Amino acid sequence: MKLTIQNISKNYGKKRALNGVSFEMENGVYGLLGPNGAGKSTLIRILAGVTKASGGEVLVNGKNKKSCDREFRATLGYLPQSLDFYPEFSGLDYLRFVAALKGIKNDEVEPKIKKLAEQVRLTHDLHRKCVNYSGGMKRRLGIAQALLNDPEILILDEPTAGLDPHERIKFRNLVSIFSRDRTVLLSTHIVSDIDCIAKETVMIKDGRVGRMESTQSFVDAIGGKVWLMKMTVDELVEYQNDHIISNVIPTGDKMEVRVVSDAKPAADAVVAMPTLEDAYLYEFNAMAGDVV
Amino acid sequence: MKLFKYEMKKLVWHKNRIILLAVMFVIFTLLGLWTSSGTFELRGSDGYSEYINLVQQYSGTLDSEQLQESNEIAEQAKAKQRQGDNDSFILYLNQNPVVKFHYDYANFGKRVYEYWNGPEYQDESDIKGVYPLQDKLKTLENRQDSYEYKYYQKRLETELSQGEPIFTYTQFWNNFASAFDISRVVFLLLMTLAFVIAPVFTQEIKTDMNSIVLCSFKGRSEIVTAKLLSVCSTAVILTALYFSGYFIGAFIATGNIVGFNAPARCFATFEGTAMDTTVVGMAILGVLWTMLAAVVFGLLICLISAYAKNQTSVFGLSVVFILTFSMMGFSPDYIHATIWPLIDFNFVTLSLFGIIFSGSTMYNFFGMPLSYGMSAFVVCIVLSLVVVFLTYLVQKRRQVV
Repeated sequence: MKLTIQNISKNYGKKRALNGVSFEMENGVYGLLGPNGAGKSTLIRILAGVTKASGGEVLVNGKNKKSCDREFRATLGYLPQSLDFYPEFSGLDYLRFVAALKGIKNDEVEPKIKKLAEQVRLTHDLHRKCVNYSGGMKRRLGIAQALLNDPEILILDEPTAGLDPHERIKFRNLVSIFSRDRTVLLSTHIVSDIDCIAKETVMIKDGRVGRMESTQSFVDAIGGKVWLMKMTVDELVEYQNDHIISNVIPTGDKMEVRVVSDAKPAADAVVAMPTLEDAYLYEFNAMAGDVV
Repeated sequence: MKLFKYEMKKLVWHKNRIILLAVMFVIFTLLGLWTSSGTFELRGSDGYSEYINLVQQYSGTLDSEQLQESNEIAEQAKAKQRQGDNDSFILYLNQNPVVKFHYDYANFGKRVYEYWNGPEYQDESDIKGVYPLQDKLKTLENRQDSYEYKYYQKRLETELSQGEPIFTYTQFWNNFASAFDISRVVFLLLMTLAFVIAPVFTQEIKTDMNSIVLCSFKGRSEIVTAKLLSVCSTAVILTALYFSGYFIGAFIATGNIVGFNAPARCFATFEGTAMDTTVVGMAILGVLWTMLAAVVFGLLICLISAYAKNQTSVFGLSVVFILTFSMMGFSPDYIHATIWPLIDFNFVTLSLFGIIFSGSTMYNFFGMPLSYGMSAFVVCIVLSLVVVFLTYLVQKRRQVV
C-alpha cells in the first residue's frame, strides 16, 4: 500500500501545528523523529483519520483518503500516544471489544488474540482488569490491539514509552517482522527505537518536514562531523552554549565530550563514528538555524 | 450485536452499576411501601372487614339512597375534623374504615354528578360534563366544520362511550398510581437515568479510547448504533426496575390487586381519562409510556454526552434540563399560552403519563382535534429521530484534538 501525504497543514486557532508536510510511504518501517511539540502526533492523528487537516490531502494508492475512508480504516492499526482502558474490562474483554470494532470475523478473533497475547507476553494476564496493569503492560496491550486486524498500515505514536529495555527490543523485533509486506509509521523521540529497523526516517520540526531519507543516509551525511575531545568541567559549561554536544563521559579529572560540528572543534579533537542520535541533533540544529 | 454487548458492559453490566441498580430497586420498593402506608393502617383498623363488605355491596353504578346517607356521614366527619390538616384527616379515615367508605362514596357521587353536569366552576374555554357539552354543541350547530365543534363533538363521544363512573375497590391501583407522580418520575427515574447514561460517550474521552474507536472500521456509525441501543436498553431496564419495585412495595402494603379489571376511570388520577381500557390496561400503558419517554430522555442524554467532554458536565446539564422543564409545568397561564409547545412537549412532561393521559386535552392538528397522548407520541418519535440523527452526525464529525 502506498500512502502519499501531500502538503498537509493543520492550524489550531492562530497556531500552525503543521505547515505543508509532504512525503510518501510504501512497505517498510518509517521513523518519524522530532522534538516535543514538533507536530508528530498531529500528523499521526491526521493519518489515522481522527483529526482533520486544515489543508492538503492524504492519498491511499493514489486515491483521496476521504473517498475510501471506511476501507482505509479497515486496513489501519493505530496506537495513540496516550491510552487508558475501561475500568470494568479485562485485557481479554478489551481485545475482544477492539476486534468487534475492527469487524474481525468471529472465528478469527480468539486465535488472533491468543497469538498476539503470546507475542506481547500478556497470556497470563488477559483475565485481569486492564486498569490494574503496569504501564508497560498497558503499552503492550495497546500494541496488541493495533495489530489485531493484521493492518496494512500500522501507525504507532510513542509505542515504547514505558517499556523496559527488554520489552523495547521485543517490540522492535515484532515490528520488524510485521513490516515485511506492510507500512509502519513509528513516531518517537527515542532515536534508538528506529535506528535499527527504520527503512527511512522523516525528521519533523515546527510543523515542517526537514528531510526524509534512509536512516543510514542520515548517518552517512554527518560522517566526519562527529568529534571526540577532552576538556575540564568549567570549559564544558562555557563550550556547550554554542556547540552541539551529543554525549559527555567523565574520564579522570577531565570530560570526554562528543561534539557534532562541521569544522574540527579543537586541535586535539578526533573523528568518531556517527550515530543516528548525532544525525538527529545535527539535523534539528540545522533546521532551527543554530550554529553547527 | 457484539458491540452492543460491550456497550452494555461499559454502561450497566458491571459490578458498580449493578450495585447501584440493586440499591435503587430497594429504594423504589420502599417508596411504593411508604406511599401505601395508609392502606397498611386501614387494613389493621377495626372495621376493615365491614369496609370491604360495604365496598363490595355498593360496587357498581350510583345508589342514590346510599349516596344520601354517605353524604351526611362524610359531612359530619369533615365537620369533626375541621380543625386538623389534610394528613390528620386521612389518618382519621384510615383508622375509621366505615367512615372512609362513606367519604369515598360521597366523592364518588360528586364524580357522577360532574360527569353529567360538569364541575361546579365551569371553565368556559374547556367545557366539561355531558349536558354542558351537549348544550355547547347546540350553540355551535351552524359551525359544524369548525375545529371547536369537532373538538366538543369528540369530547362528548368520548364521555358517552366511557359511560357514568362506577364505584369499585381499587386500593392497590390507587397506591400504584402515585408512581406516575412528577416528583417520583423526575427525581428517582430521570435523575438516576441521567447519571447512569451520562458516560456513554464521555468515557471514550476519559479513557483516551476515542482515537482507537474513531479510526476503527466500525467506529463512526456502528458504534453509535450500539451505544444508542445500550442507552435504550438501560432506560427500559431502569424503568422496569422502578415500576416493579414500586409494584412490589404497594403490593406488600395492600395485599391484593383487586380492581384490576375495573374501567380505567376507577384508577386514581385517571378519573378524567379518555382512554377506553381497564385499570390494569391503563397501568400497563403507563409503564410502557414511561419506558418510551425514558428512552427518548436517554437518547437526549446520549446526544449531550456525545457533545460533552466529561460525565460531570453531562449530568449537570441533564439536571438543569430536568429542573427547568419541571418548573415550566408550574408556569402561570399567560406564560403557558405563549410557550405551550415547550411546556407540554418537553422531555420531562413527556415522561409524565399521569399528565398526558389523565385528562381529555386535545390539540388542533390542521383543523382536527388530536389527543394529548397521540400528539405526545408523535413528538416522542420526532424528537427521537432528530436526536439519533444528530448523534450519528456528531460521531461522524468527531475529531481528537
